Amino acid sequence: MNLSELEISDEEILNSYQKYMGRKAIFIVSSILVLVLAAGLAGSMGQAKITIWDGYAAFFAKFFPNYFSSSWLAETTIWNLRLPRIALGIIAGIGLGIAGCIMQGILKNPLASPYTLGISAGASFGASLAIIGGAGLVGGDYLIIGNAFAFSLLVSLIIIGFAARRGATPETMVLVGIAILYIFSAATTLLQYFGEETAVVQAVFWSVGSLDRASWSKVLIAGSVVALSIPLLMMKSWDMNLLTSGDDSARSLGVNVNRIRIYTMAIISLMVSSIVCFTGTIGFIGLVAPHITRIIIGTDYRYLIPASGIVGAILVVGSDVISRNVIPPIIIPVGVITAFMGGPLFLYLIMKRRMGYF
Amino acid sequence: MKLILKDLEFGYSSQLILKKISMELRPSEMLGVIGPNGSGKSTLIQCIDGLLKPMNGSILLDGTDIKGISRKEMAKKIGYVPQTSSRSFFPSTVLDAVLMGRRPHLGWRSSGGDVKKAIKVLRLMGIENLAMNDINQLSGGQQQKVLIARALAQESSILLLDEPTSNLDIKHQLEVVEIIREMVVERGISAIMAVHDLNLASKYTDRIIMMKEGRIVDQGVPSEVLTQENIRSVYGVVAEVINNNGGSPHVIPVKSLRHQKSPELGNFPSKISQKEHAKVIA
Amino acid sequence: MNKHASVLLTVIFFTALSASAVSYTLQIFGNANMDEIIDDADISYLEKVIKGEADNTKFSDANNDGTVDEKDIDQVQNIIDGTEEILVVFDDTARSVEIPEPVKSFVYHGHNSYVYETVRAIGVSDRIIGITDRFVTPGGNRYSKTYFPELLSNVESVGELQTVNYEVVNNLNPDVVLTDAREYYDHTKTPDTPVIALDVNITNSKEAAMRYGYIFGKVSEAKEYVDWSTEIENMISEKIKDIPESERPLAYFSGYDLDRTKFSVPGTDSYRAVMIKNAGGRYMGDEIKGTGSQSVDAEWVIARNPDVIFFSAGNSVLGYDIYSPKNATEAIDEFLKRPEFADVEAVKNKQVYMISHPYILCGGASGLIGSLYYAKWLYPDLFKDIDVQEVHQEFVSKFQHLDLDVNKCISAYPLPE
Repeated sequence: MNLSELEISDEEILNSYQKYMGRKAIFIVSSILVLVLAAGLAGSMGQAKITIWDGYAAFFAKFFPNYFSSSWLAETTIWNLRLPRIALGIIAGIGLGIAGCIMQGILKNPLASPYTLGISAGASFGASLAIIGGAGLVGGDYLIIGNAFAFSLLVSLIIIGFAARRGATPETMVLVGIAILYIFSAATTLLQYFGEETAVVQAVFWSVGSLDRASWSKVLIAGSVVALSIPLLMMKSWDMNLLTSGDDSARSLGVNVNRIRIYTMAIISLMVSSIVCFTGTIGFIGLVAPHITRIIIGTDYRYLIPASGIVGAILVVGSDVISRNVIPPIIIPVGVITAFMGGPLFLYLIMKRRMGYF
Repeated sequence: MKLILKDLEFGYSSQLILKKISMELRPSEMLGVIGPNGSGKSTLIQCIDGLLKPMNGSILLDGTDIKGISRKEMAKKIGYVPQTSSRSFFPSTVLDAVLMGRRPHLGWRSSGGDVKKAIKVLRLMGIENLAMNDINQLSGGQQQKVLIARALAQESSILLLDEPTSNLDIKHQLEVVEIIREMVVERGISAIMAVHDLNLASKYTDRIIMMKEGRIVDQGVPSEVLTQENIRSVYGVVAEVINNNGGSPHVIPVKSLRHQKSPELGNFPSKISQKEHAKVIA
Repeated sequence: MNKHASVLLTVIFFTALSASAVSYTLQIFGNANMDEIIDDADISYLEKVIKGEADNTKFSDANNDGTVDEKDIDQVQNIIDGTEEILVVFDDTARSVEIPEPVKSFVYHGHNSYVYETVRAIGVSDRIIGITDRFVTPGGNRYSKTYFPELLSNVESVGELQTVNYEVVNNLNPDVVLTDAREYYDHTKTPDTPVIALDVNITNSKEAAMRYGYIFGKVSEAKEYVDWSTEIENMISEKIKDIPESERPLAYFSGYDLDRTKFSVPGTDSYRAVMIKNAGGRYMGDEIKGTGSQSVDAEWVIARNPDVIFFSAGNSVLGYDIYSPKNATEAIDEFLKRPEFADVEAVKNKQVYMISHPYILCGGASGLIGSLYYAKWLYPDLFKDIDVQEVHQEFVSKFQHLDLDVNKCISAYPLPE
């Protein structure tokens, strides 16, 4: 024993620990602020002939009509066009960021994303079936959306079902996921091959991630599902921390490993399906946001989960700003922007080996 | 807490690894499990903690079959320290890693009390100054202490340790078994420790179980079990056993019995067919 | 060789009134008797409805207020006089859209020239203030300095077809938005502007033209355009009506460029097939149902042995900006030289023609000009007295108000004699 070692008291350790936790909490709070700023930026940028003040006036006029007034152009631009997009973008970013974070933990795979369970393939198939085949499980206005949701959920439930029966190991789930993915991709390709041209174009276009179809009712639906899912997932964050020490260790510490995998997968499937059916496939957010977050605040899932969500939301909102303002009046679908941004970003993370544990 | 195993059998479709194991763990006792590689020590420990499901037989914890006990309840009663290989750990502070041991007692979130208990356990293991370090920066010995601390944080009455000293230097080996011994004596917990080092087992355990090919071939106090004959027949090794050190025997290996068919090889299912075998011998 | 030279039909020009064309119902509220126009007959019919002597029809409630009463008669009178304040139009999304009249500005969200040609034909191209990007951005597939010159100044792009920039539309604040791609336009995003989904295609082109006429207060111009089209249509169908099916040339249609090995054949209900059938051709690919295209290989074509082959060509080969037949000749010669097609009737008799995709297939009086070219190629003797170029020019000058000389450029090749 080194005699010159300092004696550290329990209180000092406790303080260090609390400061350490505090830093994580500060990160979350500051990233929420960044998100609010980003949303404000997104809300004030666009082609409508209104000034930034007009925009903010229109925003506040909804809440304080006595103090603010706005023109119809400002009001429709902010409340009808921009805010639904931004809101849906935030919801999508949160949902995808959280889903990606948990998938990477559950499957112990740095390449896991919200779409690893074939959700995107199922949604594309469902949408193609509705658009090209005119057939679907839900009729009317919500035919395409309902189909996309139903089939994406179906795909992930098949995978989870397999896992429940054959043992929910990460390997099983990834392999079954790939198999199902191929089957549904093939089915989609078949539909598109024989479909009528304009319908095929529409089907293909649908699956590119986009916020253009946002509306308040969709925001409400997707937002409710995500809002309900988050506490259900957060409840398991401590168990997910335990999972990182290995399945056996986790079990010995009281975690029902199989059950937790299936439980979280099911909730994630629900959450992501409810996003994808409205936005199509917005890629890379679920992959990249958790990695960025992990570098900054480490791998404690109690903080990593919400932080990944917020970082994801910031990425989506940022992409939305670019998508609408880089070559106006052309609007580039947000999924294209995230892919262009995410790809190089991911490469950068790999090169610098800044992927935390992986 | 009393642990009883009756006629326990575990295996895969091709072979049985544990064959009719019957034993018990008494309260406030340190039990050593020794035996050659492949004798089933790890498997036995994993079965006891419910990590592996036996095919036959029963494991009773204070009279209750563990099949009926939930994972969470098991975690409150039994703490498990796995083998440390040279694998890397998921990045985490030492304190967070130990805090994981509090999981069976946690509700929605950890309380300040849990953190304090974790710190106390770290102090017990002598690594409190490493509390905020990343676990991957520690030496093998320190990492092993972290895992033990985590198990201790569970405040369980039984500890299972799977070769806790395999990768450690002399100092850390002794520190680890001394601390476990202290826990057993001072806090009344029981511990089962699988070890390779016969002398450590001899000096620090109350009783020893000697395993070979999935069976218990002998059990008793160290002086009863650690005999020349036992060592020869189980390990295929000639050794001298010195009976001083205040009652616990000291084993000095002399030579291996290479040129004689080692007893354990005789019954191990060989993949070589009889014909090929005959060709080689001839 | 199915040109039936011995069967000569008397060439009779009909004036449009006793049109043999299928009659249609004008989809505007106020057209109580469900015929093709809004006139006094509708007022008489409404009076009967109010008295209970006639059945209520879909379009009796001229002002769309839920009841059929005197106010509806007033509305119909206003429409006849051209003084109505609102016009209720039934659109492709099955909505009744109320349009404040008169319509002085509009935005066109669409992908197809048929709609724009129609509104230009009735003389309202000076009212357009916004259009889909592809018409005004160089490189867009409807961008043309020669065919759409007026769009290149003062008309704003409202974004791509699939991603409309609603902010720009709201900025422009048009009196109405016309769309022919309704799956890509969400009318709730421009809530202050009436949005009408009204696609123009080969089967509805007359009713659509009249509807647009009423929307823009250009009824007589619309009538003139419709009558002209009907006259030509009738002329073609008169000439070919007695040719039995078996004697009609088998015509194969697809896109073509050099070295192509897979061909995309449109289904029998697609407008490209209908154009050929209207011209008296027997369509090769009748078994391909619907409006989608099917990908076939050379064997499929050879096995069916077409008498005539029509290829559609892109902007670099044929069009109003092409003044030399070089690329078209190259393409046709290359095809004629291909050994696998050597025994096909069309190749043996050098009956291979090319036609401009954007201007004549996706435009040209909603397929009429294209049908005329086809007819001339299919039955050169029968249509000897018809100067296709002249009709084409009439369309371009009189109805599209363009200073374009059809004879100078090459939009169909080789030209029929």
